[in-house]
Amino acid sequence: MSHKNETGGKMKHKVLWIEDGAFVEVSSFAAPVINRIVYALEVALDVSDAVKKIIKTQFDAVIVDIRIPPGSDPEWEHLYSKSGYNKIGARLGIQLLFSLLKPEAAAIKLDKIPPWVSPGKFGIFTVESEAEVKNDLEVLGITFFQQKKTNIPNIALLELIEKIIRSSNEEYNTGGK
Amino acid sequence: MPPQITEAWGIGYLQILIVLLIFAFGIPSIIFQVTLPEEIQRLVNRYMKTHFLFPFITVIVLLIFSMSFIWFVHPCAVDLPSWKNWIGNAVVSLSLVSLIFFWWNYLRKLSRENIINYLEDKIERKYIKAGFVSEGELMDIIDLGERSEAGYEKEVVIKAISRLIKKIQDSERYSGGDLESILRNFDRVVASKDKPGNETDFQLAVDILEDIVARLSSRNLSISGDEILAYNVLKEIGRKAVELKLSRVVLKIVTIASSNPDALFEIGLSAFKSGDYFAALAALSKLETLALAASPLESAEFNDLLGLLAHFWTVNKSSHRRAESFFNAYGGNLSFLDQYLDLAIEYHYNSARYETADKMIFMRDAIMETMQED
Repeated sequence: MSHKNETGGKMKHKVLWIEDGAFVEVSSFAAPVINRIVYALEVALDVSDAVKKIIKTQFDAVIVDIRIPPGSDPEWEHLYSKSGYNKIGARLGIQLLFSLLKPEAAAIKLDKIPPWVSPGKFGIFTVESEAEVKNDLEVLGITFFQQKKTNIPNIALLELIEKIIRSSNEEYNTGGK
Repeated sequence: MPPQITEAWGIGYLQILIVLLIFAFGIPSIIFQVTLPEEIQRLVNRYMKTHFLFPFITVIVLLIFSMSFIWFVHPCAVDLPSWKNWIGNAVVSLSLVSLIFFWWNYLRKLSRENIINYLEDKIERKYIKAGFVSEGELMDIIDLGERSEAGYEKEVVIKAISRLIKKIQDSERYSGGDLESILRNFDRVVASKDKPGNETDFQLAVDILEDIVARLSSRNLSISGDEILAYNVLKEIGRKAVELKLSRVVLKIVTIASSNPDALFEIGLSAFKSGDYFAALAALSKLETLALAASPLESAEFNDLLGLLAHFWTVNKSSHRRAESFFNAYGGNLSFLDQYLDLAIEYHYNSARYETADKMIFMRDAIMETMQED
């Protein structure tokens, strides 16, 4: 799969990173991504912002943190308040994924889900261990996961993105079989 | 019984009245001078002329209390009943307490917040009535913000401007160009030369500009004067944020300005020159995305991209490598690259960006030399 503009040059792969600490952790994880010429990295600092961007733009990969704030959308704010305004308890990243990938089981139904949204485009990059989110990931059909922990290399985010893009390309080349 | 005033009591009363008069006029004036900053005093004198009435009101209150004291509880030849003593004490005590309360309440009204709210209401009312932002009051808010200390003081001004902008943009009258006087001066509040804001002030300002652009977009007024001005302010604030090394703010600005090549170029260049390579890289990456999607190639997006790439190309080896990787990935597919480079050099030359134009000439010659060798 390749994007081409009228000059015949390849377009960049569009990547969305949903992470409220992106501008804090940015130098360690985002720099290697931006430094790669082929990726155009967008950041969403909260769920409301992420929903807007997902509806507006088609991304090749979306990386989600589980502990993210609700942003300005009242529905997400309400959901957040029900958890006692606690990012760890609210797990809005998972809630967002349910809204996008399993709307029938989601706490918040989105007005519109773009057709490009599929489990294969999403990856999780979070401090929770895989065991803690395993059940949810199985239900959602998400296979790409990377735990954020000390001593992981700064290319961890880049590698996760590359896995998603590679897998999408393989799927595209094999006709989705 | 009427008060039986002896000479001694008369002198006593006179002295008390003089002291009270000094208290009524002098003390509050001293408090006014000492507690309120000069810029607030200036605005109070300009807009709240009624504050001069307050000393007179105080004197009248004092006179009423004094007269009631003299006429009702003045010590006379006979012993006073205890209730009269109580009343006497109460009158004196109440007069002092009420005066202190009166002045405290008055000074409170002269606070920075109240004056800003007053000006904000005045601008809003005038806008609703006449359809334009009144520059007199606006400049006073802006001046106040510029002279305010970073943190809470600036925050009060920035939030007032934010409310004002929202009200204007939400009004029926708004057509996409009414914020000009606000936007032309907004950067003075946050990025003033002598008293710049802190990181929170910058973040607030950036959020406001992001909201302006979003509201313009939601009302289909994107190609308007206010949008151009909003990006200009973003550029100015971005440059100052680079100077103050507020990396998070710079990155947020790069994200917001991701559709504006000129802002990306300016902020990216400032960041690059100040050694904030990550922010410069973020701006470059956004420019690459914009330019590759742009059509035709001789667009502002492509010109700005090539300009920023030229700085990466010429300054140090690692940044050169990053610039080179762009041409390796995309340059091969760009027919007539030399022509595009020439057009971009002309664009920067005409924009008086001589340094950029020079670096581009150097980069063009190097690229052409490599291409010929290949």
